Amino acid sequence: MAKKDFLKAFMTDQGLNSPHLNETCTGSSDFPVTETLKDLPPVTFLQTVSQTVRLIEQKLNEPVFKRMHIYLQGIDNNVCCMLQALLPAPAACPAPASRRTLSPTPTVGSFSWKLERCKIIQSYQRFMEAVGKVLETWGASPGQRNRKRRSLLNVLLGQRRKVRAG
Amino acid sequence: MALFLNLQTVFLLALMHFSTYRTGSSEYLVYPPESINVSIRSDEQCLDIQWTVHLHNYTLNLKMIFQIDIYRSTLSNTVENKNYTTTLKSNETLQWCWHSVLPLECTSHFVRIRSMVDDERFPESRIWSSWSPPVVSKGQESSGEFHIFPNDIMYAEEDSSVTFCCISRTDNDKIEFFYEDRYMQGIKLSSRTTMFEVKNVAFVRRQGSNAYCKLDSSIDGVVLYVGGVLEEPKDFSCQTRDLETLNCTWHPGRDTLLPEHLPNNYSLFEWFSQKKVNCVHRNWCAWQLAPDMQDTYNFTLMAENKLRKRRTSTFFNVNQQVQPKFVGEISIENVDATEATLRWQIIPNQKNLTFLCQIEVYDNEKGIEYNTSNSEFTLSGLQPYTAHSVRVRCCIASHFWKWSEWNSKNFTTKEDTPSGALNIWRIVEPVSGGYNVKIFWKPLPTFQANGKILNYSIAMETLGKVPKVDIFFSDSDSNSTEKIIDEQPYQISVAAINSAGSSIPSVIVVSGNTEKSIQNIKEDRVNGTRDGIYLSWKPDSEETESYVVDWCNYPWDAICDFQWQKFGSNITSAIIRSAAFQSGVRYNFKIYGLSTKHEPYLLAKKTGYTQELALDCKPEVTVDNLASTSLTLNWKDNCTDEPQYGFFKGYHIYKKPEVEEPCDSETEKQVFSDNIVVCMYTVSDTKQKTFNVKKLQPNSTYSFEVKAFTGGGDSLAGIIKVTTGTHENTNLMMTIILPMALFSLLLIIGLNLKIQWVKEKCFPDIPDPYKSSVLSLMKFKGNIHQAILNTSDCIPDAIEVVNKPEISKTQGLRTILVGNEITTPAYLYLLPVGKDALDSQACICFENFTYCQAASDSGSCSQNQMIPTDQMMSVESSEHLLKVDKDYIRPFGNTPAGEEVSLNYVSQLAPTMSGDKGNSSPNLPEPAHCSEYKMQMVIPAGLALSFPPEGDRPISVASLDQLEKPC
Repeated sequence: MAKKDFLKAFMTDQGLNSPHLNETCTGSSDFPVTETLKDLPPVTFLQTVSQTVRLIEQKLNEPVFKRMHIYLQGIDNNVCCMLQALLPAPAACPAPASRRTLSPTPTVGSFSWKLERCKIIQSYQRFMEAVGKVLETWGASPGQRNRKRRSLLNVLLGQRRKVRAG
Repeated sequence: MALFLNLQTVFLLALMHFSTYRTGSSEYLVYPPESINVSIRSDEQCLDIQWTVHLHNYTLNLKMIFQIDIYRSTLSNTVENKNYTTTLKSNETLQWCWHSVLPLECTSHFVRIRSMVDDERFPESRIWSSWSPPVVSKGQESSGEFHIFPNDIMYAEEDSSVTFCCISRTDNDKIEFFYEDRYMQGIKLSSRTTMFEVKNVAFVRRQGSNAYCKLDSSIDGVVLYVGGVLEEPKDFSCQTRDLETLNCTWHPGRDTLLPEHLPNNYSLFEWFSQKKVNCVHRNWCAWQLAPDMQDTYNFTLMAENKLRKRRTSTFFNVNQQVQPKFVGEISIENVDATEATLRWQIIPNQKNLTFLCQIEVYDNEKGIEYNTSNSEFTLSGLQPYTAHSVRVRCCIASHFWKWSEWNSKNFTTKEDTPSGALNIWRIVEPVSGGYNVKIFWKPLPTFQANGKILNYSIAMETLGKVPKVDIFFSDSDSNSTEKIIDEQPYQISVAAINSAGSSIPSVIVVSGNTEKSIQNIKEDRVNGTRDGIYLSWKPDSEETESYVVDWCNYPWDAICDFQWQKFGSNITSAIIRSAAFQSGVRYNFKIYGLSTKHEPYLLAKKTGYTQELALDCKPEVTVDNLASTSLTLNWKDNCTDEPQYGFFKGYHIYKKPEVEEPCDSETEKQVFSDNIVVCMYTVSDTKQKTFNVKKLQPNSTYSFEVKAFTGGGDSLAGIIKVTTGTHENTNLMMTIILPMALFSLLLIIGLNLKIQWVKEKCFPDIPDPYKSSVLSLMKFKGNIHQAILNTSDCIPDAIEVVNKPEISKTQGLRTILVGNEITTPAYLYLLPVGKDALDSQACICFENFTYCQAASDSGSCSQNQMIPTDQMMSVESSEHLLKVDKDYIRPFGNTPAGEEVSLNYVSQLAPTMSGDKGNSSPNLPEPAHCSEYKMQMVIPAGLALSFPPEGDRPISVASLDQLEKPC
């Protein structure tokens, strides 16, 4: 998964790359952290990833985030593909839970909007780092090792067989 | 109804009566403002003030003035004092918005209002009411929250100033303000509010500039969007293409650079119809017309964004702003060889509109323009079988607005019979039994061919007794044909044929007689230029229809590219030009007259070059008959009159003398580029290979160059260098001069030897004292140095110079006499040191007789006795001379034979001459006539001892013994 520094690009575009505003952007994240994700079963893990990515897509559904939006959709599609290999179609990629109501969206282009979007992007990048760490514990990714060896999908399928056998 | 109105007026006046103040004898109308409401419109930074006046007064349409005072923070800080004038209307809430530089949330604002009737009907009522109680618009300074105002987002134009304020939670919190990360100082408005002003804001990025307040770790900010000033739209105009849709365009001016979500909005408002359209584009907008309802339109274009509004208007009759447009392409019908009909359709097609259409037709060469008001047009006079391009555009004839776009189409006219006749000519060459006739023709130009030429027909008709016609055809791509004819004349006709018909035949009569006359005509040479070759001929009889000049472009080639050119009967000269003409090629021209019976006859033959070249040859030169003033040059070469170079005209002989000399009358002076001057002879006979050069200088070297020349210049040179012989009298002169010279040389040598001999005899070299034999004797006595007098140690008393005073040189008190500078003998007088220096014994004259002693025997010495020449000195010195002569010579004469003679040297140093008048040292005797000592000499010791005793001044003569002591 190619690493894209959307946060840096956004902060540069919006003129937020100053020490004071940098601190404001790097607040606490609402998304699951590594410790939470690593204990999740694979399917739940993937579903969490999918739901979180979709939630971010919803929050960043503005023209200025068009490229990032496409990128997130690509990640979500890949995760859903893996989930569909494990689960029946409707349940594979559930819609993001509307467990919390989104706060009122600030005016696009306002100062609070800039800070809020900055925090979301920062949270997303932290979340994806956490996802990457968990996936590392699953084995080599297809790109890093010989493709004939175990891919992520093989790992998942192997785990499903274990679950069924167990 | 009128009664009702009257009653109403009376009722209202009665009401007025109750609402007046009565002060003494006067009555005033006073209506204080009521229900004052103050609110903040944050997006406009505007304090919205609304109030009312008692309801029943509205109907009076009273003119009133309201004075509005606005205070900031406290009632003592007035920031606005406004007189608001209005005419009261029914059911209207009075309203005024005050724009504040400082965000209104930053601090509380107080408003109070008072009023005055300002109506001409009640002049006595111009009295202010009492102030209303102040109404407050509360700021956020006491909210206990940390804020920046304006909040979140705001807009400003470039170069404007923007004011922010930061409100702290508690009193005197330390608040920092940053604009684009630049820390800025503020002005404290209150314990919790600080104002910051950013002047001349500039555009930084489309995403806005960030301004924020920082309180501890909290940050609250606002994004300031800085945009360019919205410009008024320019060149706003509307037009229609079809009277259904109006298209309005304008130039919006420069981009304001505001973000996409804050665009500049443009809208069209039409005043007659009161309709408004929001424009999608920033530089044009469409409007649907109602053609039968409205002809005149008054549009206002409004441009606005968050910061500014602009507007511009246009007023027009839509029928006068129509740019027609074509429906489809124009059609071209009924095309034949010279005509074609155009048709088109154009909109708007309302009957009341008339059009003016412009048609332009082009063929390969020219364009023709036509105008019409119809929708069809027939073109005529077109060139057959020619591609044409036609284009049409139209405008409204009644009121020109704009042309439509051009509507273009191409077409080709049909073929027609060739027009004109072929240009033909012939070559007749005799062959056995007749003549070979070559007929040439030039293809018809396109404008005469009128179609594709299929072939050429050639008809040969005998003009002899037996009529005979022979017709044959030649291909379309040919331009000549060949036929052998018999002796009788023939009339040959040539015509070009296309699909539409045949051209007019061109006729020429061919006869062998013409060629027979060629031999009798002499060929003339003509001069060419870079432009071509000029030909002229004598006009012939009146029956001459025209003249023809023919030639070959490549005369040396088998396919000579035969050419001809026809001229009218009134032309007798021409410059023949051809792209094929080259320098150094001889072209042969024949000039014919062409009779009215189409029979050619030869008039002249010409030959020439466009530009001649130098011959490519080099003469080899030899010399014969070389004499002192003439010689004969001979040369061999392969230079010939070849047509490849130029007309061989002879030779140039260049004479270059080694020593420059003038050119004689037979030569021509030539100065080359390197300034070398040569004399040139011209030999005009190309067969002459020898040339006698005369008038040369004897015993001189010449360089001769022989070059063949043409009109194009000289060939390579044959060069020879010749030195002419000695003059004939020279030998005779040499027989006389040489012996004389030898004799003279021998005489000089003999004389020289004689002089040497005389010198050796009379003037032997002065011996070196160190090498003297006397020294060998002194060796036995002791120190050799005591025997030699050092000249520098001895100072003579005085020496008088009898003559040659000019050669003495003074040096301090002494005079140095340079003996060898004296060319004539001089008498020297040694002056005795006495009070009277001019005593009889005062002068002793020395002459270098010392060394004469040896020579005295020969008698030659007596010749050295010289007489002073100085007249002044000779008066007194004659006696001294005799005495000295006596004193001086005597010891020599008295010296007995065999007696040892001691030789003494006299110092060459001399005292100051008495003749130096300027030098009068008291130590020296004066006058001192005899102070010069010319020559170092040796005197007998006896004589030296006879000098005055010691105590007198020392003299310059001392014996060798005395010389042991310093002088």
